[in-house]
Amino acid sequence: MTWVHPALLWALPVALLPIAIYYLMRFRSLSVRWGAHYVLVRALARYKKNLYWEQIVLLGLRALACAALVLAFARPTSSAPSETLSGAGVTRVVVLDASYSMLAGPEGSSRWSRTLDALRELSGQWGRGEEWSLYRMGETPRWLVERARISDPLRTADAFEGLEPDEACANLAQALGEIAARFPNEKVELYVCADDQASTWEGMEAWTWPTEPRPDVFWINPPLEDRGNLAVTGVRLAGARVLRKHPVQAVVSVKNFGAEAVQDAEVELLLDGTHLSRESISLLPGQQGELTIPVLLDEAGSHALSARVSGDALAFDNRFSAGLEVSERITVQVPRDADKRGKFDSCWAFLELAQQIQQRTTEDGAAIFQAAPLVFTSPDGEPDLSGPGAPEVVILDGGYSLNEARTEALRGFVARGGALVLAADDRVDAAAWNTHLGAAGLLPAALGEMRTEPLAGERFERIAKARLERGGFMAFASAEDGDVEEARFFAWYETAPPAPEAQILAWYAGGTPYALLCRGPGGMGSVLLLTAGLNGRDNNLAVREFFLPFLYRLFMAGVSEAGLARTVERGAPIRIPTRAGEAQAATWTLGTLPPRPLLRQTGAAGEVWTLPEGPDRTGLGSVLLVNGSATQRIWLGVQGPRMDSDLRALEAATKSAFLERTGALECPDARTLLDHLRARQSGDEWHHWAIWGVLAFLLGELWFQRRMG
Amino acid sequence: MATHSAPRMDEILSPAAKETLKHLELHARTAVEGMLQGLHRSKRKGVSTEFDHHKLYQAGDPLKHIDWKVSARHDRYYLKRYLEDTSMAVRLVVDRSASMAWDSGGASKYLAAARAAAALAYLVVRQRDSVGLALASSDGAAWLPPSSADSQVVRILRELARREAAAPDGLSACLKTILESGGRRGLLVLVSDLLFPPESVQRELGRLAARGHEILILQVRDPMEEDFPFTRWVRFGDLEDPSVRHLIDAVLLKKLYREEFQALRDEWQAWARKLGAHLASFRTDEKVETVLSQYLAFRAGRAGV
Repeated sequence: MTWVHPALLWALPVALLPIAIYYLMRFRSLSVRWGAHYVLVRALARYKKNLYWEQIVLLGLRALACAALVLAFARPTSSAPSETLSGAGVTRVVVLDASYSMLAGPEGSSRWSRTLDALRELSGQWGRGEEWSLYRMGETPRWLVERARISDPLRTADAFEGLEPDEACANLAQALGEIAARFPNEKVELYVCADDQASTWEGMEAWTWPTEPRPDVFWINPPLEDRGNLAVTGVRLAGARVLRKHPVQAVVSVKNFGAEAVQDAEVELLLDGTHLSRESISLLPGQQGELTIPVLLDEAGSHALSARVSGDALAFDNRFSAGLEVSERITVQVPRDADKRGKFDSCWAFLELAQQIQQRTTEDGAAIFQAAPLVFTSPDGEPDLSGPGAPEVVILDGGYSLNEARTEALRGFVARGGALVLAADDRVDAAAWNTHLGAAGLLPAALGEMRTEPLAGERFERIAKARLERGGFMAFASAEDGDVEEARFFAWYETAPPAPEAQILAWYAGGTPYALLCRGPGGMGSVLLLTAGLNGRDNNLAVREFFLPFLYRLFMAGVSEAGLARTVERGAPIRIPTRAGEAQAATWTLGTLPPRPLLRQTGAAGEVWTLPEGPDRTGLGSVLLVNGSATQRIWLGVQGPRMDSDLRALEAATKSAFLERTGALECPDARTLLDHLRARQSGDEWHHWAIWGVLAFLLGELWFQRRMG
Repeated sequence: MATHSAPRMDEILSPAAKETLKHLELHARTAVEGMLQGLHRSKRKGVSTEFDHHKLYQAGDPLKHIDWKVSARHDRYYLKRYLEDTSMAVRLVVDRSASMAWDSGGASKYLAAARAAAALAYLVVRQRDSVGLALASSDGAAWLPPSSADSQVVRILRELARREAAAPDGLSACLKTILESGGRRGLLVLVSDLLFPPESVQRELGRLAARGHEILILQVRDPMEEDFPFTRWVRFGDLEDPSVRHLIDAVLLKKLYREEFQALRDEWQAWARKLGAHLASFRTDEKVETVLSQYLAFRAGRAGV
């Protein structure tokens, strides 16, 4: 027999306490001169012998009860193997990998659920009064339970309820360092509940416990058969703005984190949760690929676009979502000087042509063009770029000369989220543009020399189909909307090297940029520079079949999101602009997380609802705008880097070195671990028998007392 | 818990008690002998209205007692004999042993016994019977011969008040003295706690009963002595013998003590029943007049039967 707390055995002399009390009570006896002494003598004579022995027995019972109580606190254990676990004065520390790679495994029996099951079973076997701690690895490593005493082993498992993995990777070396620092020179039983993911074990190659005594280490590592893992790393639309019934390109990024090539993996696109289309992709190990899928959206408003893959080990990273705001129209304004209102002075006549095409009807008066239109206007005077009727797009070309005041108005327009399209035709004062727009930061690239070629001649510049890199122009990579290379430009500008933040959307075949885009932070405001004019004078756009699609692609690519960004990075702030009075309150919800209120900021152009700290996990969320009894839901996709998707296993050499160095026992499940622990345990605890003994002695005393009267 | 000094006379018999006792009568249950005519039947034949039996006439018998009707029927002379009514002699024997001095907070057992004796004395003298007193203790009994004089009550009260319970038990010696004095038959009232070895006292009382005395025992009980309420270790000293001491865990002895106390009472009850004597028991916290009233009512009822 051994003792959990042998030092308590020094308290055994407590058993002499009843005897001491017995003599003390005798010493402090009451003196009485008794009248009925004859009766007393008769009672004593009759029972003197019994009384003596009963007093001895009673005293013995009291002494035994005290001794049993001391023994119970000292917690005796048998030397035979135990059915339950008793920690003989050890501190149990559980380090739990809460990175999302722990979710790998078949549905319903992921490593995470199997690990938690094992911990529940294990903790249920711990003894009352023992000390334990729980350290959580993940995004913010921290102690969830620290030096807690177990009052009810069955309730200890409650600490594992409600735990969910973080969207982050784990660092075991850092966690063990923290634990070693917290429990120096203590006898520790360390339960490492982490997967064998190589990234988790980085830095563990030569790790050792820094102090004595070394802990007993048990590694709960549920096996994972299939480590193939595809992850959707992004889903977005090629253009910034989406118009109703206008085809846009959905770009889905997929990465193969597995060690083997994947062939024809299916990628499904869903709109508002319903199937939209399905494509397949083949990827080499570690390769990331993009799928461009055309999408046509019939209804204006807020939508959710999701892409998902399936059939791999880790379902957590198989889906990403993007929010969409499908617009009903785009308003475009062409400001013109009073003296430049001629047919060829600006792009207005060219755009009017497009407007007429949009408004054509059949013989019976039905509109031919069903999609959301581009609405072109040209004010008579100075354009109102800051009021409620401000357009979404302003086209600046040679028909509107620049000065400081106009430049400042345009800068304010872009700062408020407007889109400025700079069409550099042959009427443009390039020097003024470079001076004013360059100083205001509204020029993606300074205009250089203008190249002109004879109209309808053999020398011209054309858009290179193979170099449509991003934005709505990518649709022209296919022949569906016509061959964009058929467009011929007979006058164009060469540019200086573009600004670092500028994106080149399209190139000329000659190697100079055609369209350059600069966006403001958060998608607010943009400037699109076209190095050729939008007119029918020095290009053949107006006579090509892709004339209208070309304009749509142009504006959809260039138009600012203007507060309609519906996809945010994890941790980035959410900003939802609304008109003044459109909403009284707004809340953010994502999955099962509790709703969070958005803050209202009031500005000149309306109100902006913000969540400054941003969402703390990826997924499809929504902002609910509340205005009285009316509500409006805006879908937002939260995306971020896939940090813990690589399920590559720890190298065998590193693993065996760790096991050998620490003497750790690797267990696939709780049963194996418990069997091992039971085999090495000192045995069953007997303290409950000692407690029963105390109770029996006390009952015996009670019985004697009753018997005595 | 204290022992009292000798009680005062007004403590023993208060005016209120006298008022209560005024309406009570004590009748002898058996025939007694007395010098005067009284309320009680006598063994002697004499002047009375209650016929006893017929006797053959012998020379010298008074002719006035010849029953002529019976004599004519049997052709012999018969005399009518009548029971004589006489006065009763009551002897009060009060236990004055030291154990009677025990007092658990109210009246001592001796004071309760003195009250009972005084009440009976007052009652007896009021009905013109004679009453005497013996205070029994080992240092010698105090005697007051029976008398029916009104002053006898005062003498008895003075005697009870003059002495206190202090001496060891001498009850059996006192009873033996009464027996040997050979007085007339009467009522002997023993007032005691009866907490002593009963054999010798019972033997002497048995002899007195055999001599024709009616025996009435009034047992005085103290509530604390009866309940034994101790819950700790107690060093018990004997009131009658200070050298005797017992150190006992009273909790353990409580049940045994109560059983033994009850057993002693039962012994006395059984003995009294066997002897044809009455044993009335009362506690020191009860009013003596009430107890006597209840007892005399009981006694009268039994006499009627």
